[in-house]
Order: sequence, then structure tokens, then C-alpha cells
Amino acid sequence: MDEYDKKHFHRFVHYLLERFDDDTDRSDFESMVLVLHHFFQKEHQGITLDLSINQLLCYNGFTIDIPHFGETASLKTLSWIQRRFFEDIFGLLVFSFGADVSGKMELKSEDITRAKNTFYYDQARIFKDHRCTIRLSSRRVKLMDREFFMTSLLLVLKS
Amino acid sequence: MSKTNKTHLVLYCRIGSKRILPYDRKFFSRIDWLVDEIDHTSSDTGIVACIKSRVDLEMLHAQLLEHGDDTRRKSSVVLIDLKSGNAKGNLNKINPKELDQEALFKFDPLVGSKKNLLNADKKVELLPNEDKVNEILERINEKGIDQLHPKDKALLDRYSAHLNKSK
Repeated sequence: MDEYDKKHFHRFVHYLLERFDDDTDRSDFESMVLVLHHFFQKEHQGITLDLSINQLLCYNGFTIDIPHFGETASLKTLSWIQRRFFEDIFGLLVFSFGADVSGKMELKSEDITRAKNTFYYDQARIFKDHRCTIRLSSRRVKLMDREFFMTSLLLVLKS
Repeated sequence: MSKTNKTHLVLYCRIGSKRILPYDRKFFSRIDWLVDEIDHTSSDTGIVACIKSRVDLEMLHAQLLEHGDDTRRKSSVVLIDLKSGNAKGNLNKINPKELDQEALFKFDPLVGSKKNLLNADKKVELLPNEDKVNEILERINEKGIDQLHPKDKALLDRYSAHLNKSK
């Protein structure tokens, strides 16, 4: 963690201390957000911790869109990148919440959407507990005649 | 201002309404002279636009911050350079004290409407009637918890949460 991220990490910890009374809730939530951030940064190095922390402080929640894009990469390659990312985040959320709201604990081959020989997750999964709700979703996007994938994560803390 | 011949592809992710807002339109016209093309579509959390730009992410970010200064109604935007993976947002200047219900509604596409959000808050504030709770507890005593109606169980859960909160 660099100096810039450290500064925002301290703001984050301060926020959590005010927000959560229960130590376990607080440390679990903190770990989840930091691991989520680690996954975001693996996809896009420039997604710094402050993007989530500032939203969290202002709105008690945050949302991030992660594009899976490559100028020279084929749609097939991008769909593989999207699937890997979606599965990583889904796995982390199952670890944190136990299962999604429909009781799903693992993604199966039938969850994968196939279009033009491209396999990807085109779905939304919601995770909920006494602290927050998280919506993980993904979609195929076409802009300027370029096709790519986007995974979105929305976290809303309970009021 | 440094302009290069290099083209940058920047993704504009605005959180909130899935329709293009005056905020987006004004920003796009502001940077019109710096970009070759802008194409947008709705996303799961608002709108995304692909900007084919002649200036880099830093420059577009500076424009975004200036746009925020000139606009009364601010929106949350993240700019992502699709080639380098660098990202920058416009939330640094928002003071948490300025937060109002409208800002909360704008952020929360999952809730969908300000009305719903406000109603959801009111529901939390409703306190369960203590007589009703005692009546349910007596019924559990007589017939067992298996016979309990889900509505009554929900009421007990709410009451228990209320007690925990007021500890």
C-alpha cells in the first residue's frame, strides 16, 4: 500500500470505528472491502482506494464499474477475463456472506451465457446480510463499434 | 496545455440515473474540442460513455473537476483510461456534510427512487407494539414456536433488533 492509499486507509478505518459497534462486523467488513479493492486493482491498477472510500464516506456505499477491455484482444479473450474476474468476486462474496440471496454458493456452467462462441456471465447476483447489500452484475457493452465486457459492483450499507 | 497526436480511450462511468443527464451533456460539450468521438450507453449503475480523446486522462479529469465547480448539481463520475487502466474520480471535493437525501437517492440505483428510500427509512423507525409482542410470546409458550406465523416472527425479530439497538 503506497502513502496515498495509506492516507485513505486511515480515513476508512476511522469511518468503520464510527459505523460499526461490533468488532467482528467491523473487521470482516474491512477485510472484504480491502480484498475487493485488491481485485479491482488487479484489473485496473489506477483504481485507487480513495474511489471507494470517498463514496463510502459520502453515501454509505460505493459502486465501481470495471471494464474488461483490450485494444487488440479478441472478444473471446475478453470474455475469459470477464469470467475469471466475475468468479473471483463471486467467490469472495460467498466467503463473506455464506451465499447469495437465492442460496447460491457456486457458479455452474449453466450460468455462463454463450453468444457468438463467447462465454461470459450476463447476470446479477445479490448478497445481503445485517450490514449491507451487494449487487454484482456483468454485461456486454458495445461502444464505438467495439465490444467489451463490464462488471459492476454496488455496495449499500444498511441505514 | 499539452496536446499530443496520440488518441486515448477513456471510459466515463457516471453513477445514478440510467438516462443521459444535463450534467453529462454539459460535460461532453465542455470537452467537445478535446475529443474526436463520444458514444454512451446505460450501465448497471448509471451510464458509461467511451470517449476517444486527444488529451490524456489527467487532462480530462481536470476538466471534470472544473465542470463540478461550475455545476450546482454534482454527479459521481469515474474516468478510466482503457489502455493504461488508470482511473480517477470526482469525489474528492464533496464534503460529507453536504450530503442530502437527493444525493443519496442519486447514488443508489438499486433502491431506484427517492420515495422508496424515504419509505424504507420510515419502516425502520416503526417500533413494534409491546402488548402484541407479549401476546406472541404467550402463544409460543402455549403452542410452541413451530406454530408461529412468519409475520409474528418478523415482528419479534424487529423488536429484538430494537432492544439490541437501545442497549
